[in-house]
Amino acid sequence: MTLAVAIDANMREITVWTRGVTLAKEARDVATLMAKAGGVEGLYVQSFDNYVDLPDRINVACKSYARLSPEPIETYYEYENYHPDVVVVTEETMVKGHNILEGCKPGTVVVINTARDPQKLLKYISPKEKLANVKAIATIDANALGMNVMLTFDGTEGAGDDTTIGAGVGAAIAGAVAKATGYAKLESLLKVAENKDAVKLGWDKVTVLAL
Amino acid sequence: MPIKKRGTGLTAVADAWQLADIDVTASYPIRPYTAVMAEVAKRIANGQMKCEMVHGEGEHAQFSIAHGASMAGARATTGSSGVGVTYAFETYSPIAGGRCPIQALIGDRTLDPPGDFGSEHTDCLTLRDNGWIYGWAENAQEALDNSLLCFRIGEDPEIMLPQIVAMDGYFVTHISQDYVMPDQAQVDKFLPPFKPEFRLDVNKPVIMGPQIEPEMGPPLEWDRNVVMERVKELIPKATAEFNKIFGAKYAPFVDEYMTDDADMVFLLQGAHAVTCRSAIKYLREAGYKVGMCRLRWIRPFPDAALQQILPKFKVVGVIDTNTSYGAAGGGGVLLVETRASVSEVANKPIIQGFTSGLGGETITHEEFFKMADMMKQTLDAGKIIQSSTWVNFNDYDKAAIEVKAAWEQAAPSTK
Amino acid sequence: MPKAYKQVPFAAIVKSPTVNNQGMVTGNWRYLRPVVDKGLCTECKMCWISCPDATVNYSKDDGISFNLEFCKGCGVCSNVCPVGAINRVPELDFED
Repeated sequence: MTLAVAIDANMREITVWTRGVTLAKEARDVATLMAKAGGVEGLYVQSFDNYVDLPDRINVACKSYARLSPEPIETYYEYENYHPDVVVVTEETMVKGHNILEGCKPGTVVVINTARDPQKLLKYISPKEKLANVKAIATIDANALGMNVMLTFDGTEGAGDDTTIGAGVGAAIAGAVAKATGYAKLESLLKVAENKDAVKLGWDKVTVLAL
Repeated sequence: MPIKKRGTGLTAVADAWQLADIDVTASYPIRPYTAVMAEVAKRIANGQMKCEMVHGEGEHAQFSIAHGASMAGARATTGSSGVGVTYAFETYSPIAGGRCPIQALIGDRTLDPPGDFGSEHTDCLTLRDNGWIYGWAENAQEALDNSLLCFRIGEDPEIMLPQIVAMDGYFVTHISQDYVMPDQAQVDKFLPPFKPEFRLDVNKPVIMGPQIEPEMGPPLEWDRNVVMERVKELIPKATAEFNKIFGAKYAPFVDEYMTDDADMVFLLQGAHAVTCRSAIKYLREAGYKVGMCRLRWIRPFPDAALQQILPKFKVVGVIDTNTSYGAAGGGGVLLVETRASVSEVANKPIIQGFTSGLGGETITHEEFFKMADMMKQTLDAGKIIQSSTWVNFNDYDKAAIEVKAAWEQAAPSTK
Repeated sequence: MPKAYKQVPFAAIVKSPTVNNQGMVTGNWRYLRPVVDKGLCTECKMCWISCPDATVNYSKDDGISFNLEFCKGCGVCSNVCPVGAINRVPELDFED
């Protein structure tokens, strides 16, 4: 039997691509901040790391996820964001050689941390057939905003993260994601992030290219 | 004041251990157990916990350290996952036979092959014959609560048996969720300090674990057996008291969901109950009179409770998230035990088995729908159609038959 | 989400790769690509012997080259080069 039901029909999925160890904490912060900001706005939220990526290898591709839903999340115990609405790339090179658009829904927004022209990055993005689902590409040069990158293993492997959340480039990227997608208000994000200037800069400096 | 927190099953158990003021914990890293030792280490460094943390050189050493600490009178904990659990196998019977009520956290993990670190209950279920008290938690809150309940039951002077707080790896151990960390005063009311009658004490020397004569073996084992039966009596009492003090609503043995008018029920344990409830909601809307029975304990097995509950239904679909190759009836551990527990009961339901959720895979809504469909066919036929079914491999619902050829190609049994 | 299982051979026994392991391609870990300046290179092969992943190739005709399908971009080659002949160039500066 195939019960034709739409499960978590209104849930939005944010997938954050990053590099193992070197940028893992900042990417997790992007996901955590988006989920926390959603929580502030009364949404049902979830954020977690991909379990299969083996992220303890330096520079390996790995993913962090956030989910926001106006209703209780029913697929709470699923491993991955199979159908992202937002794809965030915290390190620009990752547009190359990774199927970052895999499973993405129509209307997907891609947010890339880069100083490069998004038009020129388009040719690298795969899988190609999913490009039609992309509504916009937003870019933010978070690295140039003078924020730091935090290196910590705290908060990995299911432990609690007792370090600060959103102190570095992750906060700026989250600001950019929030503005480009409209998934969180600036005030909500400011409430949950450590470095409020970074959030604000990310929010202000993001450029959105509609496709 | 109880604190509302957001964390995982691992941080929740670390909270329980903090509240239980454990004396010793023995650690060795393996996914998904790892974070609980990270949490405890952090709390010791921050001064939140006063506890001796000993790092073993492997899981066998880890469980032996906890064993020794318990003999010295410490409230001791440890834990592991997957192949780590089986590496320590030699220690389980001596710990239970020595009546050392240590607590282990097992975030379950698939055994090799496939060298997968996702959830599967097989690792922890291999321990079921040794005299450890355990059951699976379905979320972080239950993991915390089970930890406290286990200390209370296991350390009871009439019991003195080790316990396992089992939970599904990744699902419960890694996905953060809301839970409440109870107040220290509540815990102190529920859980008395650990004061064993015998311990290694230079002022009152005893020998623990001496070489015994063959004639002494069976009586010792009889004693372990009697005590395990006594656990069945203590669980409802301890659970009722827990519910009263902490304002919880746990069923002692079997958590029932939408079973009042159900013809068919899923019977399972652990985290997949969360998706199961959601799937039942849709199935109900589609006219299926289906419910769920979730086992809170696997040892002792809740046979008396199931003898009461299961005759209400016509078809029971036992979902095994484990393997027991060549088991009676072809399913896993739960199917065999469920069938055995109601074998002598008049008007017992038809019990069929499903194997699903292996290797860390989520049991999806679609798979629950498919299982309900197959149970419906059993219900309509009035007899068993297939003793046990591996979901996605030998299903007998209509859609499945069409794709069966494809699956057979994907998993050839001979070569 | 419907599942897709993979085809598994008997006991998961697979042929051993003799040159490249296509099951573990690591070139996409790299964000800086090593580029050798042939004019400066003395072909001392320090990079060749130092590469932890054996992704530096050498031939009499072509000199030093890199196996970019597996090079993780760690930069050891560039560090050990005594004449500074190996540059690390951002990956996105290349079309391929």
